[in-house]
Amino acid sequence: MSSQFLSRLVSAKALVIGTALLVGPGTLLVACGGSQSRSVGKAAKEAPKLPPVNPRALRQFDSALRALKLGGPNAQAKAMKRFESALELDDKLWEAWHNLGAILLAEGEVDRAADAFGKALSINPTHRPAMAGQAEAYRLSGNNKKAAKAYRKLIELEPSSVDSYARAASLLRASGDYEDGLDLLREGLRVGGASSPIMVELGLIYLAQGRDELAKLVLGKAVAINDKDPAIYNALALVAMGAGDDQLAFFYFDKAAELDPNYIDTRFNKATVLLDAGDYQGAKLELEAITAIVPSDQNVRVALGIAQRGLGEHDAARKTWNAVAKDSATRRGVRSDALFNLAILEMNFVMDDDKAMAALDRYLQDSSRTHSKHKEAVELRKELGE
Amino acid sequence: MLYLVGFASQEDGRREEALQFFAKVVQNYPTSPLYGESWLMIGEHFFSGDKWSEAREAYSQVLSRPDSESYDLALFKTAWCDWKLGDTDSAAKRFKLVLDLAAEAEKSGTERERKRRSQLRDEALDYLVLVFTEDPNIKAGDVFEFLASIGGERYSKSVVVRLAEVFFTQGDYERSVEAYRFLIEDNPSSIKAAAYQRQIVDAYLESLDRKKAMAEIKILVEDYKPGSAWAKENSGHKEAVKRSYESSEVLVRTMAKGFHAEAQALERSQGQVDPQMYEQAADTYGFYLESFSDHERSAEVRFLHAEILFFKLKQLEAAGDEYLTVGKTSPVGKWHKDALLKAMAAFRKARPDSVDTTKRRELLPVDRKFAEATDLYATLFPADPELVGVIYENGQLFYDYADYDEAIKRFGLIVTKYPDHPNAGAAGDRILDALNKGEDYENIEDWARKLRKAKSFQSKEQQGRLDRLIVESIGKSGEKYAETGDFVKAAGFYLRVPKEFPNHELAPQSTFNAAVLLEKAKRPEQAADTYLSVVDRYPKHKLALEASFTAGAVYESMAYFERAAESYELSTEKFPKSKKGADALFNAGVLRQALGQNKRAIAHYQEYAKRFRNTKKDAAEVAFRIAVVHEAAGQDGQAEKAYQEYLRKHNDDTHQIEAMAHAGRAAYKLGQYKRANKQLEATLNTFKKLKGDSAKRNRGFAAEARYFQGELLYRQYDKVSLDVRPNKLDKALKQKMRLLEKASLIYLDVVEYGDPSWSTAALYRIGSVMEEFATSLRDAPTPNNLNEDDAQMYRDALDNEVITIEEQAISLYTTGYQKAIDLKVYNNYTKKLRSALGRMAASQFPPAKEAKESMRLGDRTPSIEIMREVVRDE
Repeated sequence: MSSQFLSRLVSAKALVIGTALLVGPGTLLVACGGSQSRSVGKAAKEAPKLPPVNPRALRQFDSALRALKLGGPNAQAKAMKRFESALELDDKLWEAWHNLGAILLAEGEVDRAADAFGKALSINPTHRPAMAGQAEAYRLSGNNKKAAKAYRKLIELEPSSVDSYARAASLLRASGDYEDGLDLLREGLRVGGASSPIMVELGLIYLAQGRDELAKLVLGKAVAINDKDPAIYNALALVAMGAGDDQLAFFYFDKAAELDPNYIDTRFNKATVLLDAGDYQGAKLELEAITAIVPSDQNVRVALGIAQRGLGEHDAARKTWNAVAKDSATRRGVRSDALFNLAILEMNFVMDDDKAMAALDRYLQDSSRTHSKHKEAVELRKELGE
Repeated sequence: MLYLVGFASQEDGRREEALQFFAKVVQNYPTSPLYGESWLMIGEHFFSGDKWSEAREAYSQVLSRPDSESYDLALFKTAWCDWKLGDTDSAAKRFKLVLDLAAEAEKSGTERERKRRSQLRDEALDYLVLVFTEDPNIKAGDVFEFLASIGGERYSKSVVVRLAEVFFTQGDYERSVEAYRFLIEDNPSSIKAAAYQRQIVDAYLESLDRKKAMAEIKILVEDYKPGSAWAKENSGHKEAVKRSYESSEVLVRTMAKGFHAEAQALERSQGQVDPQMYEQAADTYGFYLESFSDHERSAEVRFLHAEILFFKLKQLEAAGDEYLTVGKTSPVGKWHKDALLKAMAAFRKARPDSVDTTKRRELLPVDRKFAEATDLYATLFPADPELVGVIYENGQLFYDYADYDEAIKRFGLIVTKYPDHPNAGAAGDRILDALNKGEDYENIEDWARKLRKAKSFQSKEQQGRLDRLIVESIGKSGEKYAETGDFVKAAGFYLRVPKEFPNHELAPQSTFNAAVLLEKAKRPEQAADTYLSVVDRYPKHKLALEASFTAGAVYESMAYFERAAESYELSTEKFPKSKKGADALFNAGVLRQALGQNKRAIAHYQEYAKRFRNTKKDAAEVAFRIAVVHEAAGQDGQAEKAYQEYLRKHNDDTHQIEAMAHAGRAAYKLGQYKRANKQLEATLNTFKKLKGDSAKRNRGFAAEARYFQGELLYRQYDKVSLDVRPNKLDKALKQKMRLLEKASLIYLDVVEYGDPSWSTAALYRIGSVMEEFATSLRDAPTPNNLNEDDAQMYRDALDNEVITIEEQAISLYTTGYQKAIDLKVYNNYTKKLRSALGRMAASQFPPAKEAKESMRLGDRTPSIEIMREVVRDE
């Protein structure tokens, strides 16, 4: 297997690392050979001096934290409300802005999250977590330029932060700027040495470029650096999928999920392999588990509906997809998926043409022409007639 | 006429005869203009014969004629006579009248009168003083009072001054001092007060009362120095004040030198030093130096002071200090050279013998001053032939103290300023030695470069030595900066060696070190280029291999895989037989493969497998890899060949079954079915002999081999066409069914190997073959010679057969699918099984047509931590 090869390559390198020689009167230094030394990054500047916090605002702040600590179904909403109350009393309480941003980001309210982080940064301009949050919020809202700028600022603040390089490069990858992404990652390698986030991103860029063998090579190196990073196995699984080796892909997804059960993407991919193979029971279990962790991930629920339908649980599938359609008011793509699947359910499995027609009409009315199933839906609708 | 005859007689020495003539004039011609003159000449006659009464009488006659030209002289003479006759009061009064006349003449007298009366005044004063001195009880104050009492106050000071002078001349120093002191006290701010004080000093000196002289001299210097109250009072007399100061300086200096001379004279006469005498002289010099340190003569005095301290009183360090101070004065004069040489000698001599200088961090004061003296000497007398020796000695002093900076300054001076001097070589050595001890490598380099130009280092051996020293120093400087973390600067040092001494033996090592440091400086690309420059410029050096390999590793670490491969290739090309050469070759192969450059990758693997077949354990693995890469590249012929090559050359069972099976597979893909069958058979036969883990490990490959055996039979089955004449259809069908059965048995046998993947594949394959058979039956043409009913019967029979076969296919697909799911086999065959079931048993296994998100790349949005604290500065 390729991993044997990769570990072989690493061991060959080790011949250089750690070899000290003394030749003649001068001292021969030990060659690093691309060693993974890291430099200490520039420390973030101190927070600006601020007036004392309004005690009432502070009480609201603490109350919000308590709500988060206690948890429960409405914990986030309660916390948000209290942070907002704190900010009404003292709008310089940047910590509250930051926390508000963090909750909004987790809730998927990315525009509001970006604004909240922006407020925090306007008061404490060098607070890295807020900057990172803002970058992610911009990214999720599709504002890639602003996200890239925020990442760049993060790198400037802490040049040795490999995560920032990796995130910035992944953004470039997402927009197809592969070479820029590679350059940025090399910058990260230069200042921070090899690290699994950088190597994973390298692998994903190579994969995106269709250079699967290179992807395998760097991911193998990533494993040698940190064999506990689930992102590496997720990426290796994607490479395997690209090579048509679903079995190996499943193995890697499974491994990644085992390392981090909260790694939603890899668990979703694993479930996708199961769905593709027709293992609906396995897929359902996996997808239900994911939904329990991230109830707001509507794509997972769409897939769960498929698993339910595969198991003949038509009512459950219908309920799932209807819920997705309802809960995805602002997310047209996933809503369209759910509506289309409802139509297929009624047409192919429940065999209720009227309901199928109604569902298709609803889909066609709601979905974009660019949705992957649009053409098919049009055809199906024609088949059903008036 | 009588007067003239008398005068002539007088001049001729006939004094009695002259007297006669003058007497005739005064007797016979009382109105003559020469009446008074004649009395005067008579008076002079008696005066010269000490007949004071007669003389006074004669002079008094002149005084009766106030208009006489000789009146003033006569008055003076009467005063004299009074004095001679003991009537000092009268004498003094008359002298005072003479002084009055002189004063009057100054105002209104003729020129002649002024001149003569001035002379008389002086004489009167002298005599007046003489009058006062005769009485030992008279003091300056008495004289002063007397003169006042007779209205002669205005002459009192002059008289007292004369009096003091006379006392001094007469050796009556006490009274002289008393007179001078009176004058000073009378008017302390007088410009002359300083002079009077000097006279006092002189008086004590003359009286050999040195103690009092010293006491007075201190008063002189203190009370009349520039800036004193006296000097301020006389600010209108700047020149006079200055002259007074100069006079005091002379006095003090002379006095000191006098003491010194006396001490020397005494030493000569006694044949031994009288310390007290010398101490007194030294003290006086000291006093002078305290008082006149800025005076131009102070260098001389200080030198003399130092001489006493050094030679007579043995106060060595103090003497050195004084000599050194002389040396520091400007302008440089005749004392400087001697003073500085003696300063060095004094300090050297004053140095304690018992001090271990090497353990001291700071110089002893005497040594510091010694160094200062020698430095000054070198500065002031650069052309002195003794200088180099002096500097060398000074340098050695600092060297002994381990104060290498200072030592180097001195030795360096010799090397740079006196390169031809015999000591230059030794000085150069000392510099290098000192710098080495001080670990000041940048300076070592600097000096080594300077020494290269020095005459004493011109030999080939010395030049070589210096070159080496420069190179080593550069290296050491590099090390130093590296230790402080300034890797870029450190690398800069190392890179200078190959640039400046490209042929030096340490140049490759320096280049290598520079590369290492550039890596540490986080400049990997530059580092890798530098590593490669070692190979480029010093291909035969022992570090060249390491360098090229490391360049590859660095490029690789920076994801420059093309460059990394090139560097590894360089390693293997230049150092084919080395251990690293092998690793490099292997790495180059891996990278070329990863870069999709399979041809080059295979070439590297082939070379590796060939070259290290007997020396590297992984040569077999690499040999196997060659075939894998070929096969992955779709080069089945070369893959088969490579598998066979592997099997021929490598006996270990690691990949034996795999290689055999895949060789068979490759042959199958090439259409070489016989060869494939033979190979697959051999694979299974070999597998059957395996036991335990080996069998378990290889069962997948055996299953694969068995699967391809099924494929071979399937090909035979597939060849049998049902598009035949009706009379041959039955035969064709039976043949096809027979082959199908045989193939199915083989496929089912695959399952027996216990490999889930190939079991799934085999089960799918049986099902798919059945499905194809059913399809081929369904699509088989109806024979033309049948009537409609028969044709229908024919079709019905066939359809029934098709249904039966399809059901079998569905059953097989279902079994395979369920098995795959049970065994968690999620490969392509599972998908195919599911797809086939969706196609053939849609109601039970409906195809998935739903929409959903495809695979996720795993870009995880980092969770942003909640801030749990609010911190504000008070």
